Amino acid sequence: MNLSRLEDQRATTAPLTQPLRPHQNVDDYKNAAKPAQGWTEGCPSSNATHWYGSSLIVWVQYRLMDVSGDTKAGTLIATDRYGNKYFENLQDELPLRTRWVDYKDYEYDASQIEPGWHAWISYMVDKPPTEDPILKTGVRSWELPEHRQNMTQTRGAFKTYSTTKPKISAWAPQTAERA
Amino acid sequence: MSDTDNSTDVDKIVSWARNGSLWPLSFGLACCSIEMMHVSMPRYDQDRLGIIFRASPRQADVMIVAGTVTNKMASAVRQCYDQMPDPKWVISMGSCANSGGYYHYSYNVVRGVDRILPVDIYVPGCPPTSEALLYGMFQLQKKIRRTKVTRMWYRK
Repeated sequence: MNLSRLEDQRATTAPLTQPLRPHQNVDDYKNAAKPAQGWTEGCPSSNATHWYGSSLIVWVQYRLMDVSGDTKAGTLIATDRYGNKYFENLQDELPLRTRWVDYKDYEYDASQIEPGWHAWISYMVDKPPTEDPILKTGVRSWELPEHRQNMTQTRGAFKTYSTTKPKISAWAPQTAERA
Repeated sequence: MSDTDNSTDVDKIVSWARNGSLWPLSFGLACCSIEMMHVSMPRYDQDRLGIIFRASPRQADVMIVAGTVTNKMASAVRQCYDQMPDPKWVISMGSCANSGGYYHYSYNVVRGVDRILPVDIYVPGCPPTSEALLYGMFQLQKKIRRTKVTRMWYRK
């Protein structure tokens, strides 16, 4: 068996444009992944000189760990109307971990993600709702104009109600006077 | 508005500690418990959140009732609940535990585990997905963040 021929064949049939798992610095590839704008909000050394550079890095790492429990860097795809930021990194992350959200609130809730972004972050669609024509349907008449998060445990919590006609009807019994 | 606006600093510390180590007593009774097991598996990996299943009710904070509670099992469920130390919470998982669900009209099924236990969080579904159960856990954490133990003590 000619191994070199096999390898040649594989090389011609499936040319790899990119290495499969590049263990390279995140700054090496296109759309360079960097902590997006806004990461350093509240950082004591936002306009960092080289003296404060290390504390800036520590701050970014701390914020990443604090918010997402993970240290990730990726491209900022968009910010939704609520203020959540959506990131993607297809090069360095494992499948199904390539898209993530940086919530606006510290005490976040998964229901703060709008339906379109939920579809994107759950890999139901390929493109983010800002670019996807399927998700450009606009607001239907029966939809809420703005996305509302899950209101359970608050005063706005959903309460069930019946829309069907009652199947029994009570009557006020009229008794005849005794003669 | 933040969840913890109404609580004192002590309450915040207490709720932070409780949220960081929610130890559930897994009461798996039916297919719901398969989904509950998925939450502890690598994909959802509840250990990263400090949620670790305990085998003994003496070590548990949360009881996850996953599945159909039959009349025969009811006394065991209640006994396990009684053995848990305070503070304790209950998550009812799936429509069977919520209300009896599919077996509501059966002759040997408890029509909702809230007939024998005080339930904090109801997770709907038949069975609920692992995401749904995890979301229920987060809702419980939100509820714990809102408890005002020292605030209410101070007001008295």
